[in-house]
Amino acid sequence: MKKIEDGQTGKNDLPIIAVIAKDQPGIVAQISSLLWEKGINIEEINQGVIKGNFFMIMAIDLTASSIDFERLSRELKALGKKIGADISLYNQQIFTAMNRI
Amino acid sequence: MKEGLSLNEFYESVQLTARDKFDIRTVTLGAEILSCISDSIEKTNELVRKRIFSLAKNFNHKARKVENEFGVPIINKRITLTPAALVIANLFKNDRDHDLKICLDYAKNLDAIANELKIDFIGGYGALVENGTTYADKMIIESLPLVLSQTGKVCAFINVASTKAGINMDVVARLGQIILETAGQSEQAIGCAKLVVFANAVNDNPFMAGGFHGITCKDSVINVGISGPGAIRSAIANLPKDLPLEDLANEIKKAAFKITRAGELIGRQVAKELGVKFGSVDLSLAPTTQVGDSVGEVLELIGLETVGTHGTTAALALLTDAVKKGGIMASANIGGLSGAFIPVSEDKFLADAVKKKCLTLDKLEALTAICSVGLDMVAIPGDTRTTTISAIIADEMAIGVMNHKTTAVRIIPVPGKKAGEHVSWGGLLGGAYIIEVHKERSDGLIWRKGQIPPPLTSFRN
Repeated sequence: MKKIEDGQTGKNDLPIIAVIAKDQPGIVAQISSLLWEKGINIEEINQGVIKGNFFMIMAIDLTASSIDFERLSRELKALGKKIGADISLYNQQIFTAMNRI
Repeated sequence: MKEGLSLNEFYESVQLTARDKFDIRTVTLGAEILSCISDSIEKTNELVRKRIFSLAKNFNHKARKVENEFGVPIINKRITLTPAALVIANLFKNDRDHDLKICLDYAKNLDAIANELKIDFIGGYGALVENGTTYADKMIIESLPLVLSQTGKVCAFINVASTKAGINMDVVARLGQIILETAGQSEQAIGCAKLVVFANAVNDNPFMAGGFHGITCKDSVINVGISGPGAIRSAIANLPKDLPLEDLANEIKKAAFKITRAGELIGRQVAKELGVKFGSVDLSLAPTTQVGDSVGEVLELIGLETVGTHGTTAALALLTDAVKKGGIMASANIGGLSGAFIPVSEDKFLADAVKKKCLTLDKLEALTAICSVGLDMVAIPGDTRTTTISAIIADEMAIGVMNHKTTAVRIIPVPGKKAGEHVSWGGLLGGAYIIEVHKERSDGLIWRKGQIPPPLTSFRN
């Protein structure tokens, strides 16, 4: 078990996978199969079409997995390249900081 | 998910990092090194080295870790130190050759440390002389041509003026000569790009070349410079062209809020990783040579055909003020310069406007009244008189002193080049067209020397 950061407790600080793609059926399956391989729980998924782009965010739980944040980030980027989507991994705090007072 | 953020809010934030070149411009570690003063240059250098390594050994590694975790790149890693004139003053022997060698040894040690730590710049080689010069201050100034041409990453500053003290014109007169000498000793005058002359310099400036760790600051501190103009550009690029200015200002405020929040979060995280206190966020918009990251372009988007034309000062006033208002709402720890930067060579739109002769030295000077660093990375002809360089500095200092604000000059007389010709430095520094200076002399003013007294408005007690 690798810790992402000292303050990570509870579901409010789960890492977020963000996916932007033109329109790609099967993207969700590709990502979730990667996560399944690594033993990563998906806690929440939210998706929609924004400004003509397919956009999805996934909150994941890394605590039970052997892979750390940085390596997962690299693997997701590589998968994104393969399937023509922009996949990034974020610390959830950045979104809260930018959007909430 | 946390705080019930909408999908749209996530999308906008992701786009900001992915598409809009949103980044943290600099994370700067400030360190006090007065405690390193010793009785020989070798011992002082060794103690400075130990001190910096004890703080910054993992600076790069930790910054990269935070970068990865938050998905926001940190462009520059820098270190600022206590002004050198205070650190090595006791080592001088009133023997010019000996003392210049002390200066050079000290600077070379800093350069070696910066290279080993793989950081971008190390600042603080300078002196605060607005009230007058000590012998040590003088030696630091005299050593600038040598130090700036023989080191790569060492950045220098001289604060020659303040609202409280007025302008030290003795030093301003000498600096005209020093800058020309520095230009002659380094390739394409690049040494001059590492020297900033200030009025009202601040103690917690995270930006280079002028940053130093002020003597009123903590032992060590992390200061952060937020993202560049790219984020502001995309916030306003697609807005209607007839949107009233107050609404435009509001959109800029919103974007500034977001990037400041992200900057503070990341700065605090790096500080935590290094075990150093967090200091402040500098709100300055700092352009880069990359396409889409230009202050000039933002000004043109507000509604100017070419930056530098009439209306540029008004547009910059709106931009700077809106960025400050958004940023100040976002963080309780705003510091540094927190204006807008207009470094001509580092900003493609500004450089092009100089080429078209739309942006002149006089207009840049006017812009200084409402932004933080006016004559920044401005290339002038190599045969400019030293008194003219001094007079250009004096004008800038006067604007800062009279308006209770920071102003600065980073000017580069390029040997062998005439107005309209191009010079290229590459990398972060970019390239510039040589800007025209007035031919009429200012010798009489400069050779009077002495002190321009502080303004009436500084007597407030």
